[in-house]
Amino acid sequence: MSGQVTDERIGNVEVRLLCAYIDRELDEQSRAEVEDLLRLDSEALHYVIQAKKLNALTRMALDADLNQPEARAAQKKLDDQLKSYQKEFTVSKKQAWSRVSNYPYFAMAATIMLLFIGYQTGSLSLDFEVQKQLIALEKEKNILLAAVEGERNRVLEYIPSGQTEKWKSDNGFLQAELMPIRTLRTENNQYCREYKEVVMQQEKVESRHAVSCRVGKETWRVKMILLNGESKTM
Amino acid sequence: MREKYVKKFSCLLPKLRRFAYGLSGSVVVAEDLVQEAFARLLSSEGREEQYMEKWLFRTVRNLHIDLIRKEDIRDRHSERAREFSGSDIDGTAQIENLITLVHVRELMKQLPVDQHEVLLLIGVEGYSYREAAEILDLPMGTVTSRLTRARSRLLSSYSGSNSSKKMAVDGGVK
Repeated sequence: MSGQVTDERIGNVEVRLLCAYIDRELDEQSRAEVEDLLRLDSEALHYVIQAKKLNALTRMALDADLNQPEARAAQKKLDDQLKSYQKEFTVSKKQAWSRVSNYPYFAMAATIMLLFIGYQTGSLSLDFEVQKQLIALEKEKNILLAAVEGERNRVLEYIPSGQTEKWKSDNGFLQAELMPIRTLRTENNQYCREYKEVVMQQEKVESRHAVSCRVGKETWRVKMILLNGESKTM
Repeated sequence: MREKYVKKFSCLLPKLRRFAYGLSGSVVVAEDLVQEAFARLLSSEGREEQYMEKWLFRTVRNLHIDLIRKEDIRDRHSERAREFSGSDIDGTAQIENLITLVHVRELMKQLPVDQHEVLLLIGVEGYSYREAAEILDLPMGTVTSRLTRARSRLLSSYSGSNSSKKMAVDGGVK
């Protein structure tokens, strides 16, 4: 083989290309092209195999020598130095932590910090709880107001003028008194009713004198508010 | 900062030792080169961590070049061959391996230093052409031409004499 090796080519393939293949410097497509060439060129293939073997053997030879007792002895000094550095780093880390944690103000600061975090967390949860309750109340109020509206529709649909109907929500939170005053009929044959309404919600009383018109069975829409008042109960 | 250097250096140490030993041919000299590189690393503050590996290899290589200028380092390769060829031998397979390794060592010492270091970085340590060029501070073209020359030279010697050496050893055991 020695006579056939040149700086330029092995068989029909450039040495540079073979080296680039051996050293994984080629992209996938170029690698595939070189492999196609190697299938046809046993001399180039032999070069590649031998070069790879030589890489591995050189590495093995160096590692084998570096594992000999003579080599180990020579390496000991630096190995010990590195170990002592590692120990030093570990100890200094522990000492740094112990210095901080032993400092009296550290405990105090940590306590304050924890309390602050606790307070913040607590207030956050409190805020959340308040928000939750407010939403629940709002929801409940809307349900009740819807119930008042339902009661109003029922009274306007069935109760004769001049008769007062009293209504109370299941939880007693809301009370209402409704009294139709008169019934009207518009030009396009729509029925409307004038009425008085007093809604009591705990300490608050809302009174209304209004006209609502019928848009469907038990469905009335407020057409006109004649008087809208709000007062507090004594 | 120092802790980072030491940790990274410890990881690179086997590669650095192999490279230094491959260059110098002596475990003692290799260790001196690596230790000196480590000392320089510690004293050089603010060096970028990402360049540390290349910097270390370059330092070892430059230190080795300085050493070559002072003495004829080639003598040590012969000493090394003598040093390790006398190890205990047990079995034909091991003899073959040993002979091959000794043979490889002999081949490597025939290479000029500039080709040798390229082959060590790329063939043994697995650096890319670009990385090797950066470590050696050479153009990529120079690196690849040195590599191809080194390989062809080694392989022509290896293939030419390997079979005859192996046969001689096998014959000797029998």
